Amino acid sequence: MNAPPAGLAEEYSLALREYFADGGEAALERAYELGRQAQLEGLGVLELAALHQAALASVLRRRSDNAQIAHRAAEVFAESLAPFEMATRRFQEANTLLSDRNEGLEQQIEAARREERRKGEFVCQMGHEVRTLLASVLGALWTLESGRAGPLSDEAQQLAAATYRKGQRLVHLVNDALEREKIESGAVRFALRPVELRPLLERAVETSEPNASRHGVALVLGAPLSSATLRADGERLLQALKTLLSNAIRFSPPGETVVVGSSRRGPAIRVAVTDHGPAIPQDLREHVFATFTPADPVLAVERAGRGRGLSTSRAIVERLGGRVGIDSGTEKGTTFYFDLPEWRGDALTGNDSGGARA
Amino acid sequence: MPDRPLKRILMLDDDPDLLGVVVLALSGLGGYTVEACAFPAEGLERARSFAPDLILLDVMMPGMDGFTTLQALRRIETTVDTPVVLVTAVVEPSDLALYDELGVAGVVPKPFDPGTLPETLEELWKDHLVGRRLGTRLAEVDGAS
Repeated sequence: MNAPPAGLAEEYSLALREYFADGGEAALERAYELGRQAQLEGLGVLELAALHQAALASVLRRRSDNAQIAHRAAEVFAESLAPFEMATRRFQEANTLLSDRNEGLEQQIEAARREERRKGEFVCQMGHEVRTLLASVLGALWTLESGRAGPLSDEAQQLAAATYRKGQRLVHLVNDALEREKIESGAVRFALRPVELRPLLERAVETSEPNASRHGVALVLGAPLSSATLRADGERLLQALKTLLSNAIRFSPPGETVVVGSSRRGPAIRVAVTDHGPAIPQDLREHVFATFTPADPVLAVERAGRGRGLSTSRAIVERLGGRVGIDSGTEKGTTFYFDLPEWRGDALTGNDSGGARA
Repeated sequence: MPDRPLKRILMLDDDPDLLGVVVLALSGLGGYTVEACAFPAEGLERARSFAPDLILLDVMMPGMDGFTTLQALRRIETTVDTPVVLVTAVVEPSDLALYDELGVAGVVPKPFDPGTLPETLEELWKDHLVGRRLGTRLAEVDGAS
């Protein structure tokens, strides 16, 4: 900060005194020019204020009608300050508005989170209640079907057996909904690490082998990509892959093969499970991985022999930053696949927080 | 320790229908001597006189829940160290961790296949005899693929 040049303060005071002594516009213009000159000299705000203050004080010392001058000076100051005051007021208003909106948004977000938690708790409680009741229902059906409650006619025995199987499907549905809820709500933590593709595919095929041979289906592992490493949680991904395999096996005609393949798709790696089960009509494909289950399409999907556990697989793959898809009705058969990011050694160091929603 | 066979099983669950099924499955298929009780307080009395080898215990029961019942069982001379297997639909990982802290011998998730229940209990019994308890052992969910 600089001090006002010598003489400038004196000249400025003189000009103001003249103006207040009815020196007219010329005196005011001279004062204005001197004020500008002071600005051009690079004086800081405080120095300028001190300059004006000193000049006004010198005017007041020399005049008897101090009150009038003071009033006038106040008016001059008020006028010059008015734009700043208005700007400040608008700024404050905008600030208040923004902070109100912010608060509103925060409340909305909090309400959405509460609703999400409430939904999650509801799904869990409902799931536990349903499973508890199913224990009784399935137990009773088992008693009937196994003949332990007395002999049944063939027809009644078949009915009990069929109902027992449907009850077990209901258990799967409920377990699936609970599992999906846990994954989507972030209650399940995902540890993202480099996962080598080949051993993962081998493990999935190996653990699904007994299931495949029960259904008379052959599992074939296509040549996996060499040195491909996924960015994933190995155990969770294995769970998703086993679900794809389980579905493919369940709905393959006996004697057919289910092929597990892999390929590169741009920056992603695709893992695909292809079977020769019934094709999935185009209009039902979007429902196969559906989280929500609008009754008719999903029933149709189930009847077409698809859909069990797939929404959980989708939730897992999406939490891992990938996507799922279907190709069906081609000469090759039906392919369920997921594309996952490849591991880039330096890009990631730690664990998923587990809190993010896909 | 010689391999003492599992013979006497007590089940406490507030659902009498399920008790009926379990009694049928365990006595009919497994050949065990089974006592079943739908009221925890009565079950504690039964535990005292019956002296079971293993106890199947529901968690959510009105009046006295499974945890309180478990504590009470530990104060009864005949069941002070009897292995307790929880039979419950609540088997989230956080719940399993809690059950493990309580020192239960295993967990059978509801619903379960009554036909394979004797096998499941035999495995848990074997684990108990060798003192193996590496975390709460969760019996396979019926029909899970």
